[in-house]
Amino acid sequence: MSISDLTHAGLEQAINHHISMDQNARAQMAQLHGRVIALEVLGTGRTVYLVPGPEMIQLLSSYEGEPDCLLQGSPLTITQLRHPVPEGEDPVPTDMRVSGESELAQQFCRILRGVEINWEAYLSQYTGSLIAGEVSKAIDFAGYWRDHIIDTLNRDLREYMQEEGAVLPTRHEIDAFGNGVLQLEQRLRQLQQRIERLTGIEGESR
Amino acid sequence: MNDKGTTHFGYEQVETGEKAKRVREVFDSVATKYDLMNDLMSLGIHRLWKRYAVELAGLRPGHKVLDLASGTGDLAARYSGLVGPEGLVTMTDINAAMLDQGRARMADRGLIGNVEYVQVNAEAIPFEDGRFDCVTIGFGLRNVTDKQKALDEMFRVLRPGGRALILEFSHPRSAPLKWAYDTYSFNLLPLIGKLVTKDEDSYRYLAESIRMHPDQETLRGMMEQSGFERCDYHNLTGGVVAVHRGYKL
Repeated sequence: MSISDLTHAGLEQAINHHISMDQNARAQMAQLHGRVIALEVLGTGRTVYLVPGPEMIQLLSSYEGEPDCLLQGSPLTITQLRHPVPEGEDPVPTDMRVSGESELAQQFCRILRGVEINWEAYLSQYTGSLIAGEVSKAIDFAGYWRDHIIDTLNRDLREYMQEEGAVLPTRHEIDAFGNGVLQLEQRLRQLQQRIERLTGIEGESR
Repeated sequence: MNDKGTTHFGYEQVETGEKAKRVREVFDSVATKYDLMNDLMSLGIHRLWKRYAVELAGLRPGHKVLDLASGTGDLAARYSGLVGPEGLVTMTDINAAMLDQGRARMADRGLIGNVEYVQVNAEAIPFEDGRFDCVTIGFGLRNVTDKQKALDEMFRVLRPGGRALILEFSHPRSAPLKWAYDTYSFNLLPLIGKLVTKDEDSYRYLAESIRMHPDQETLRGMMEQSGFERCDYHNLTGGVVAVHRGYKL
C-alpha cells in the first residue's frame, strides 16, 4: 500500500462525506452509476479513476477497462474545481481537456464544484506541499483580483454614465426625486381630504 | 484438515464435522457487533486493506462477482458500485445471522438492484461452472474447514479469464512486528472482545485461527494446486494481511 493509496482513500472519504450530507449531490452521483471518469493530473503522470455509485464514489489508482471520459488538467486547473459556477455556465474549467463523453464530464464537474474538497491537500502528494500551497494561494489571489476588477469596472462605468455622459441620474438625484414624489403624494392626499370635508359642510347647510 | 478426520479450531483439534458448527457459534455471537469489532481489532485499517483488494479485483461495469463469506458486506458494497446497474454481485455467507446483518446493512445504504443474497458454504458452491468474472473471499478462508476444497470450488465457478482474490490475515514478515502482533492479538484482542461483545472466547479463537492459517507461500501453492495460474500475493501492513490473486486461464 503506497502513500498514493492512502491519499486516494482520504480524498474518497472527504468527497463521500460531503456527498452524504447533500441529498441533491448524492442523487446526481447515483445517476452516474456504472460510468467511469479518469482524471489525469498533467505534469505528474498520475491518473485517478472515479467511479460514482448509488451510495458513494470510489477512487481507484488503476482501472483495467476504458473510462467513459478523460479529464486532463494541470494542478492549477484541477484546483479550480473547488469553485461553484452559476447554472448555465460550463462547469468544466477552461483549461481542462476533455476526451470521451463531454456531457458526462460536465455533469461530473458540476457535482464536484458543489462539494467542498481540499484539492490542495490531495495535489500536495504529487507536487509537494509547497507548490500545492502556492497554487492554492495563486487561485485565492486570482479570485480576489477577479472580484476587485469587477468592482472597479462597475464603479468606473457608473461614474461615466452619471457624471461624464450624464445619461443616468446620480444616487443623490434619484433620492431627491423620490422624496419630491412622496411629498407631492402626501399633499394631494391632504387636499383631497379638505375638498371632501368642504363638500360635506356645504351639503349640510342646504 | 487431516486424514484422521480431525481439523483445527484455533489451537484445538476437533472432529471435521464439528468445526463448521463451532465457527457458526462464533459468528452468531459476534454478528451484531462485527463492524465495531473489526474497527477496534484493526484500528480501522481493515477499510484500507479491503480498498486495496477491490482495486486488485479489476472489476468493470457488467461483471458478475461472487463474494464468499461476505459478512456485513464491506467488499460487496464496493463491488456493487463498480459493476454498475448491468452487473451483479452475489453476496454470500455460510452463517444466516451474518448474511441477515449484511442484507440489512446493504439495504440501509440504498444498495439494491444489482445485489443478490445466498447462504453458501464455500466448500460446495451452488452455482454452475464458469458463471462468475470474479470470485472473492475476504477474511473468511481461515474459517473454512477444507480450504483446498473451497479453492477448487472457487476455480470451478470462475469463467476462463476470470480471477479469484483471497484477502486474509497472514503472517508478519519481520520478527519485531510478529512479536508486537502476537502480544496484541493474544492479550489485548480477547480483552477488547470481552468488553465489547462480552465474548472473550470468540476473539481468542480469531487470534488462534489466524496463526493456524497457511502462510503466504503455502496458500499460493494451494491456489496453484486448484488450477489457478499467474498466482501472486501482496503483503499489507508488513504481512499482517495478504491479498492472494490467481487467474483461471
